[in-house]
Amino acid sequence: MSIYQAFGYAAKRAALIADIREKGPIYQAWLTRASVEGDISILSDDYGLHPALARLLPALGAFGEAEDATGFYEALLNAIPVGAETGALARQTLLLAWKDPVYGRANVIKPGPLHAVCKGVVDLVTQSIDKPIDKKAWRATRTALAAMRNADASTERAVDLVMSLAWDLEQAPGAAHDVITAWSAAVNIEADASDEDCFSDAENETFQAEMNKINEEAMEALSETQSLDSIGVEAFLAEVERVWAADPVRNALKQRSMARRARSNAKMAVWRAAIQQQVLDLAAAAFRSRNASPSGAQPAQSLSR
Amino acid sequence: MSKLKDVTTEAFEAEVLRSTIPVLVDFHAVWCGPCKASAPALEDAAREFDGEIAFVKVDVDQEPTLAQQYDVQGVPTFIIIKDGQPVERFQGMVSRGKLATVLEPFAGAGE
Repeated sequence: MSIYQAFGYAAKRAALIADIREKGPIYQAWLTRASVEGDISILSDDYGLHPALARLLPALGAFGEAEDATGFYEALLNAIPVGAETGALARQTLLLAWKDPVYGRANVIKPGPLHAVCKGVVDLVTQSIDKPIDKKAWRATRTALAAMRNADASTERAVDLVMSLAWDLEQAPGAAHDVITAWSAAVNIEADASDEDCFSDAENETFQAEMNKINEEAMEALSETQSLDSIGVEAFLAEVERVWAADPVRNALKQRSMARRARSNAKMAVWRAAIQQQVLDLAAAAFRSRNASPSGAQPAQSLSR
Repeated sequence: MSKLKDVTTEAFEAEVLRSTIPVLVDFHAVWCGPCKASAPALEDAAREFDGEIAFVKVDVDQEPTLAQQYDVQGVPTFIIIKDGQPVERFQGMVSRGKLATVLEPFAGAGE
């Protein structure tokens, strides 16, 4: 299915694991920054991981969150045999975004014509695990999905996610990143919406207005003692913090907002851990026979569904 | 090689307004993170819709007149121009899914 074969030799896998470990928590690390700007090619060019799997790593890790994902990376990389083709694992992982019984988008789109069109996309992704799919087939599913997008406004985000699934990962591996990012955003919105202390619309508006006002006040205060160009991020954030703290009424809103964020982040961590475990299970199942084989030979269809 | 062509104010009329196919104009800036993050998706979409929709970039700092003319308040801003007229606009970082959703109605018949 692809020209990529993992690692090449065992020492390269160890080198990649060591490199990721050395670079620290993923949200500060090169992997996230590189993926955001689109250049994560080293993982494919030097380490032989399928570009779609490479792009899944930061998104599945702890994209933008203070969760240390190195344990997940190590377990996943260790589960991939040297020389393995990893595009199928990437596709199986993406299918979780639709099929997962708790978080999958199949739960969001009610049975009916739109669900059927989405299912058509999912079927193509499933088929693409075993064989190349014609460009026209991908295109036809996208055209059908675009035509139905406005059928139900409440499903718009889920449809956008499915639309990101409808790409040939050999031609557009970045679509893998789009799918997980869309899934993560949707789960985050659901986590916020189910919070025990949701802001009312009025509170939300007030909080946004106060935040903008305080940012402006902080900038103005700092600019009295230094030029705008020389104001650093740390100094700005410290001043913002000071202004919030100086006003108990405004600060109460901020504290509530921070508490909500912490609760949502905890829910996101639960989601991420569940998906990471499923990816590890998929990898274990897909590569079991090869990892168990002394010769390292992989059955031709070991990654098929 | 990039499928997204940089367009200047001088070339805008010939490249965009008189184009025989719809054109997605990406108003961007070199300092803009979301613009950079959107670039790979735009390249993929440009390849997918090759011959059906043209993709061009306008650097708002280099071409402020165009940015002003199309009321670009932030970057990235994307405007689809068909028969010389803006017919759709959206802002912010884009995914392949979002691009496909917006562009499909302006593309050919699925070829």
